[in-house]
Amino acid sequence: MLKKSKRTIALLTTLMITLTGFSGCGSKASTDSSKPSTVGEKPKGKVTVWGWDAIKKSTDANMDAFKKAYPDIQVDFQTVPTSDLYKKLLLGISSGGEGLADVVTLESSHLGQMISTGGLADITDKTKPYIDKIVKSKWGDAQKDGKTYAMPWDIGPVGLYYRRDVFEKAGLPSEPDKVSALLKTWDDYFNTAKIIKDKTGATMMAVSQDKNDGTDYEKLMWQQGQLYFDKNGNPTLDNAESVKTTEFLGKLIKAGYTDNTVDWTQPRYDGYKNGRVATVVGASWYGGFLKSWIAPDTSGKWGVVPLPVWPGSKSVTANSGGSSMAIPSASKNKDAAWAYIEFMLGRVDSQITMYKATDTFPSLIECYSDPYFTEADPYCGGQQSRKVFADLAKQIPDVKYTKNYPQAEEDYMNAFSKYVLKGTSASEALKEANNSVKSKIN
Amino acid sequence: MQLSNKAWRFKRNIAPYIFIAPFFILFSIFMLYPILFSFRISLTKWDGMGTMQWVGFNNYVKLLSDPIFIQSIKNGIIMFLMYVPIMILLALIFAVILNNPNLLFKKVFRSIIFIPNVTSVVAVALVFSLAFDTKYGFINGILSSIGIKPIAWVGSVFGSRFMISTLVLWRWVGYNMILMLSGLQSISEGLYEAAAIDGAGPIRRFFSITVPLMRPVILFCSILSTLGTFGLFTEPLLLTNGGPFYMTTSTVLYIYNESFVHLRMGYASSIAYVYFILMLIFTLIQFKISSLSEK
Repeated sequence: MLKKSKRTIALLTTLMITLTGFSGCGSKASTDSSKPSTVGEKPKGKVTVWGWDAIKKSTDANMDAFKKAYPDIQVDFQTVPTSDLYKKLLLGISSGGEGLADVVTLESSHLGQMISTGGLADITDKTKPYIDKIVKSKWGDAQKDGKTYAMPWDIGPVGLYYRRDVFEKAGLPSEPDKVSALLKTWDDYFNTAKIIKDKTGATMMAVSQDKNDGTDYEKLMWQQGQLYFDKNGNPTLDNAESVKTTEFLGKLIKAGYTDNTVDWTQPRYDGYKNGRVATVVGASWYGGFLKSWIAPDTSGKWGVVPLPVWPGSKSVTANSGGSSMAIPSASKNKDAAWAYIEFMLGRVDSQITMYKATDTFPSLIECYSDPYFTEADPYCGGQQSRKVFADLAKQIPDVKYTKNYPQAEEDYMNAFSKYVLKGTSASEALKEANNSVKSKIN
Repeated sequence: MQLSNKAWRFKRNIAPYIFIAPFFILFSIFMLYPILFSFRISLTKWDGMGTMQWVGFNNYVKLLSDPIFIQSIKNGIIMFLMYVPIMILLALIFAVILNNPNLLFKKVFRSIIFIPNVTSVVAVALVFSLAFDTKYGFINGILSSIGIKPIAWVGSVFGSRFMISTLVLWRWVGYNMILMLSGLQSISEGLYEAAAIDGAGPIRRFFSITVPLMRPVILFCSILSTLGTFGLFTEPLLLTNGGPFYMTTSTVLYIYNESFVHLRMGYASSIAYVYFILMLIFTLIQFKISSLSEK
C-alpha cells in the first residue's frame, strides 16, 4: 500500500480531475451578468443574437446607433450558418432553453415550421403597431391562430435581371423599358431565348438538372399566387398551374436554353461572371450578391425588369426568401431582445442603413419613399433598379410558405428529378409527389 | 494503516467494481438511457419538443411499406457490392506489397495510402463534387479529351453511386490496409518458404496461404464496411443530397432527414431500431459465410 502522504495526494488529484470533468457539463448555466430590466426602466442586460454571416453584416451597420440608444444592452452576435441555425434552435428549445439565444433570425421558408414547435414567444402586442406599416404578404407566415410570433425583416421581391451586353450582341434592345416590352409574356421569353442562343450561344436561364432545389419553380408559382398548399393547407403539387410551370422549365431545358449548373456552386457563378447566361429570375437580395461577391466585375452590364406574365394574368412579381426575427419563449431577457428587434427592424433609418449595406430589401413600406430608391444604380448601368423593386414589392402576391414547406419542397425536388432525369411525365411525377406530401403532413 | 481482516477483504472484493464504475455510470447516462428512451420515442409521434402522442407500433408498420426506407436498404446493399470487395482486395494487396522486407520507403507509401483517411470529409466531398460536375468538372474534361461524352454524374443513378463509392474507397482503403498489415504479422514466414520450396509462385502463395489465414481480419473489415456503408452520411448529404430520387440515400441519412428536417422523431426512432436489427442480421450472415468458407 502507498505511504499515507502519497495516498492523500493521489486521492486529491483524482478528486480534482473528477470535479473538472463534471464542471465541463452544464457550463452554460447563467452567464448573464446583469438581470433583465423591470417595467419602466430602459431595457438592459445581455442579448444573444443568432444569424448567418449576411445577417451579421447587415446588423453591424446599425450597431453604433444601437449602442447609443441602448447603452445598457450588451449584444453578443453569434454567427450560425442557416442550415445549423434550425437544429440549434430545436435543440435549445427541447433542452429547456440551455444555450439558447434571445433573438433568432429565421428565413421565411422555415418560419412556419419553427412556429409550429411552440418554442417562440408570442409578440402579438409588440408587433401590433407595425401591422399596417409592413408589406402584407410578410405577416402570413409570422402568425398562427391569430397570434404573431416573429417580426418581419426583409422580403425578396423577384425581378428579371438581364445582361445588356448579351442582348445587344444578339441584336436586341437593351434599355429596361424596351426589354420589358420585348419580354411581356413567358412565351416571348421562350422565343427570345432562341434568338439569344442562335446569335450569341448564351443560355437564357441557369437551371440545374442534376440537383435542382426547386426555387426556379417556386418563384414562378408564387408569381401565380400560390406555392405548395391551398388556403386550407392541402397540397397542390399536381394542379394545373404546377404542371404547366414544371413543363415550362422542361421546355427550356429540352430546347437547350438553360445552363446546367447547381445553384450556389462555382460553375453557376462563373456562368454569371462570363456572360454565359443571359437572364436571372432573382430576388433583389440576389442582385445584392451578384454585385458584392458573385460577379462584381460585371458592374454596369445588368438591367432589371418585372417578370414576364403568364397567359390571362397580370402578376409581374413574386417573393423569394426573406427573413424575420423572433424571440424564443425560453429567453430570459425578452424586453431587451424586443428592444433590439424593434430598433433594427421597426425604424425606417435602421432598415435603410441595412439595405444600403447588404441589399436586404425592407418590408417596412415607409422606406420606399427614401431618396435612396431613386438613385441611379451603377451595377445596373445607371438604372433606378431599387425603384423597380419598390414598385414590385407592393405587388407581391399574398402567399404563405406554411409549416409543411420542407416536406413539400423535398417531394417537389424529387418529382422534378424524375421528370428531367428519368423522363417521367410531369403530371405523373407531380401526382406521386402530391400523394407523398399528403400522406406525411398533418 | 491497520485494517481488520474482514474490512480488508471487503475492500479488495469491491475494488474492481469501483474502478470500472465511472465508465458504467457514464455509459448508463449517455448511452444506455438514450437507447432505451429512443425505443419509447419510437412508439410515439413527437416533434422533439411538444407533447408525445402515443401510437404504439404504428411507426414500425408504416416502415415496412415505406418505399424510401426500403430503397435505402437496397442502396446500402448495392453500394456495398460496388466498392467493398474491390477495396478489401486492394487493401490486402497493398498490405502484402508493403509487408515485403526488401521494399524501400515503406513508411512513405503507407502514409500516402493512409492520409485520405485523416482528411476532412467535408472538404474532400466538396472538391469531389466540383471535380464531378457534369458540365465544368475536370473528370468530364479528361473524359472528353479522350473522346468519351460527358457523363451526368450527379444526374444519374449509377453516376452518383459511383461518385460516392469512389470517394469512400479512396478514404478507407488505407485504413483497411493498416488492419491487414497487422494481420499479416501473424502469418509465419516459414509457411511461405515451405510453399516456395514446393514450387508455388507468388500468386498461388497469395491465394492459398495469405487469403485463408487472413480470414478473421477480412471478416472484420467486411463487417466494418457494412456498417460504414449503411451509415454513410456526409458523402451522400454533400454530394447528392440522397438523390436523384433517393437512390443514394443511406439509412442513416434517412433517419437524419426524418428527425431533423421534418421533425418526425417518433418515426425516425423506429427506423433507427429496425436499422440496428438489420445491421445485426447482416453481421451474423457474414460470420456464417466466413465460418462456412472455412470448411
